[in-house]
Amino acid sequence: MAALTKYEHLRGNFKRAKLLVIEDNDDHWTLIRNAINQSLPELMYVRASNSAMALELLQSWTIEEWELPKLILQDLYVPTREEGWNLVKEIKEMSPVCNRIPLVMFSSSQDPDDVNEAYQLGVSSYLVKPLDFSDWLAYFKQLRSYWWDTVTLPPVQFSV
Amino acid sequence: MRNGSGQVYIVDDEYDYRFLVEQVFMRFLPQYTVRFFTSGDDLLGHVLSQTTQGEYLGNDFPSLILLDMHMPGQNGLQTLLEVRQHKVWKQIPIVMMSNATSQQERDSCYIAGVNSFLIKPIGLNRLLETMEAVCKYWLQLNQAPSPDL
Repeated sequence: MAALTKYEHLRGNFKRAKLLVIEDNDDHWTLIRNAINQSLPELMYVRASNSAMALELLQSWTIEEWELPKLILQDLYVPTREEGWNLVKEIKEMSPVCNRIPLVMFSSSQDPDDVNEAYQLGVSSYLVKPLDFSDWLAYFKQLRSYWWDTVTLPPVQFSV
Repeated sequence: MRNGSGQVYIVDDEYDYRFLVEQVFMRFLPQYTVRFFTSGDDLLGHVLSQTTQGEYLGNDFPSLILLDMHMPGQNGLQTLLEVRQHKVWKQIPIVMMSNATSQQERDSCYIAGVNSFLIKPIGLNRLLETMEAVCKYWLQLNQAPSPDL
């Protein structure tokens, strides 16, 4: 699908663009998937329902770098907080093509200690999960508005 | 809903650009507080002075730092690396802006830990559009860290 962006310099954000969502809760995933379909229709998205799967995917994509996502959206509780922290640490210890991908953490938790820890570990952003469906869509529209329509996301290096 | 101090730090060596940005905020985005720094050294001096006071300075931490990539002396990337070394300031979201970078330079910024990279907007409309989007994301949607010295 052609990128619906008015700015030339943002087209790279949409080229073969993939979003990795790490979410263990099926109900939340349904909400997220619907929101992505409506707000970011240009994107391919992949869901990992646990940290092992997320790491496996990222490892396999590293071999074919064009497969790497433009952005990672990770739930803190996957299913526990400790696993969530470990996952961030592991991702940030991967090769530069992986660890430079912006990692947006989202959680129902608004605990300042959780927020601070997330930033200490290197997440790019921390968002609190919205409460009902209409909010999820508005939420993802805002994600699109910032990460895709304003930011220049790290380009995927193609080995020619 | 705002969290964090609602303060934005903007670091840019060009007087004209700082002036324009200041006007944009004053007229169109008055809900945000902006503080300007003229160089990486200027910012780092401020970071250091806050540290040596050794108190919890709560609201005095910015919710966001906007850094110009190309500055004489310490450039944006070097400034970013120095700020990221600091135990507490390393948490603060940093957005790098430039209009003359290679893909490699942009990648280096992300590898160095920048939260986002933006092409520097030219012209009043683009500037307003960008600042509005940036502030809306970082000062309203994003949960800001609450650093504790």
